[in-house]
Amino acid sequence: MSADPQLDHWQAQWQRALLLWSDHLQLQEPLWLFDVQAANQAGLTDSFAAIRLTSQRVMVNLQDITQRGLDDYALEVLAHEIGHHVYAPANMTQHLQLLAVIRQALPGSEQLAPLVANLYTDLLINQHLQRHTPCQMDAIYQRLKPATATPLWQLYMRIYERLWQLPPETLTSAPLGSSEEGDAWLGSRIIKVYGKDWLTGASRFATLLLRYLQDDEQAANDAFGVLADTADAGNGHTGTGVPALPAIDVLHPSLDPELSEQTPGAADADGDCSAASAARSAGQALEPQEYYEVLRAAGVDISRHDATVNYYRDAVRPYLLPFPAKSTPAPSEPEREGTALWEPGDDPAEIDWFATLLAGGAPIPGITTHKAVYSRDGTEQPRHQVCDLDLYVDSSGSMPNPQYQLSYPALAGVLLCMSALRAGAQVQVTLWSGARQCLTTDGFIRDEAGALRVLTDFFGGSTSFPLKLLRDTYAQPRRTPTQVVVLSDDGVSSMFADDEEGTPGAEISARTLRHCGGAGHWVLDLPMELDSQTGHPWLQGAYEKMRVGRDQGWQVHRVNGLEPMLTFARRFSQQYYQANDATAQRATRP
Amino acid sequence: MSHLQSGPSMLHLHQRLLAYPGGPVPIGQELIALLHDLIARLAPAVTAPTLLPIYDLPQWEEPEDRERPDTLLLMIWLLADDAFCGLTLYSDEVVALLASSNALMDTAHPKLNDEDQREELIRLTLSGLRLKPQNETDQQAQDRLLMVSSSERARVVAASRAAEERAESIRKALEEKRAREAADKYTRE
Repeated sequence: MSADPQLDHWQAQWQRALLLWSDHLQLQEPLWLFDVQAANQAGLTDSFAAIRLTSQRVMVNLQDITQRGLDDYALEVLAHEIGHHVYAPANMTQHLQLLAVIRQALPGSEQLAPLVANLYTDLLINQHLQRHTPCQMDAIYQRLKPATATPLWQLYMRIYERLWQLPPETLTSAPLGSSEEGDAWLGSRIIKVYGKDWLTGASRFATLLLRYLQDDEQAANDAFGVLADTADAGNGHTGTGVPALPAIDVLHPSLDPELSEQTPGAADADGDCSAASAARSAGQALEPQEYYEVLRAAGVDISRHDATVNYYRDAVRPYLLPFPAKSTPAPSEPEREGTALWEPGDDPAEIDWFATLLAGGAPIPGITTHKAVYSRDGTEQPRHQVCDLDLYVDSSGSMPNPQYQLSYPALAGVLLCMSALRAGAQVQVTLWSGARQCLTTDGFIRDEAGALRVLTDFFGGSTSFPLKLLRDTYAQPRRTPTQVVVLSDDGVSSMFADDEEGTPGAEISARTLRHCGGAGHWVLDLPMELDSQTGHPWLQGAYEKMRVGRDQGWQVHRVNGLEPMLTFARRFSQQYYQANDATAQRATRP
Repeated sequence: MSHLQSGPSMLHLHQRLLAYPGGPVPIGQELIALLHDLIARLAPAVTAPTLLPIYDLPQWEEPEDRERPDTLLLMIWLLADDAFCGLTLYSDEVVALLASSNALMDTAHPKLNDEDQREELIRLTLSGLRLKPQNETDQQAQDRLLMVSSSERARVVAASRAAEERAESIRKALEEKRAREAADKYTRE
């Protein structure tokens, strides 16, 4: 018992509220906040209660509760917040999915997705509590009824009135027009029909609200600030998973045959529905740009670059394979065979004094001195030595920006890097574009995040291969065999220009292949085969240089389009992973 | 002053509908027997002339799907509940309700797993017999009937759809305008 009767009351209601959802539910007690300063520190600014999905915590601002006259509704408030943890959105993955689905249904108003998600999940939770528990959720909204209501507030309250069969103007402040009544009916149908498939329902609900949101965006945010208990639900999220999205057709609820019998063409809607279901099961992926914005909408404090790193790391995870290893003979254990005469001139350290004294008499060099004789066991086992990876990724204007759209060169690079690091290799990653547009790791490193941060950056400039880096890296033979991989297009021909010291690129290229100890690979997005006539004079020169590179020993992998780069990366790892000695040899420099 | 007689509770009637046993839909003599028994049970003072409208029902013919109960059959099932015994019901109202049952809703085969359709069927049935659900006032009963009414719903949904079409056309016009402006700007630069 505390000295604060209000706190005692709320603490007592906490267990009751948990039991409303399940007899077995366990959540830590809410964070009780007693003043504005504490609420601000906890990030609870607009609403009187909120949740954090990452810590699975509920926060309640007791001072604000009192000011709003909600002290008598502890059970309702707490049960509602628990509902966000156990029903909708329940966890971070579903929260991100929900936001992504809603964003797709709000073209031009995507920034309001958190508000819509909040309103929608509140409807789901309140409907359950009002219908199946003793909670009086309608009483809370009567307390929160504003003096002047926006059209969106009116609609939202009318949906509740319809769901709970309350007389008009119980929660609304004036009668609604026909179209708003129709919207309210559709809103209530969404909650009833899509209570289980609530992601589809979220899309319909967002479409329903779109015209209200576009009319007055600021007013919508102001009016519902007090209810925004999931606005920062993702705060503190450190997960890296990119949620897979069900493919939901964006449709106004008045056109959804599941919701309205009067839907035009509802008679032949069965075929459409099955098609939609088929599409839904296929699923779809978020683009990096969308992923970042969904994370931000969930209240996750993350930079675009970090979100991009997480995105690509997650995208390649299904394809990860051990990185290729080069077989080298391992030394076997020496075995003692016996002794032989030690003669002057032999290494004195080789004298086997035990054998010499055992032979009797004083040691006489060359006569009684013995040394041990060893042999190898002859069963040498090949040892797998992991190749390092030196990766050069073209980031010129002809390549997509990995932070905004899915970039297959970046994806292929991340796959190679993560495979190499998993196998124990070191990687050096270089992103290059025009002169002085070169970003590289601090040499060969084992820091995955560092390598991926370089890979997911972007220049978008002209094309000039970083010859200086190549020259410095392979000035001396590498101690560890290294696979050199260049992901590019015809821009790789800039490797054959002179460097800033006037050294011909062809010379640097040849030295690289000599000193890398592994092999050099060019993975190029080329419109035609290397030996074909380009027909374009401006391409002819580039092709000639690339043929020189191939003659030097670069293994050229032509990929027609950027997507096959990922296919190459998968095959590259897989081929070496399953390779025997012969194929491993083929992979090394001829 | 209340004009409506208090009937069974909504919860009880929802459960009654959910307990519909299924099976082939009765037609012809089977259906006539059911209707006779039901009406005689609800309004024992029924006379033969009062029953005449039920012979005009189209349900005497073989339906396309004998597994899907129509509104009439669901209403019979609902009214056969013991909760209606002991209420003062009038045979002409019962007959009129049953005779017009399949025209009351916008679907002839209500889905029992759809809460709204069950609600509408129950409230229409009660309203046709001048009953109201238990613990509801006359006003509440009328308001709630209006809320679930198919015809009212069709009207407001049509208004909603028209409003959405207007909003959509405005959105498209704005998008085209933005695209034109962007193209002009690109050309200037």
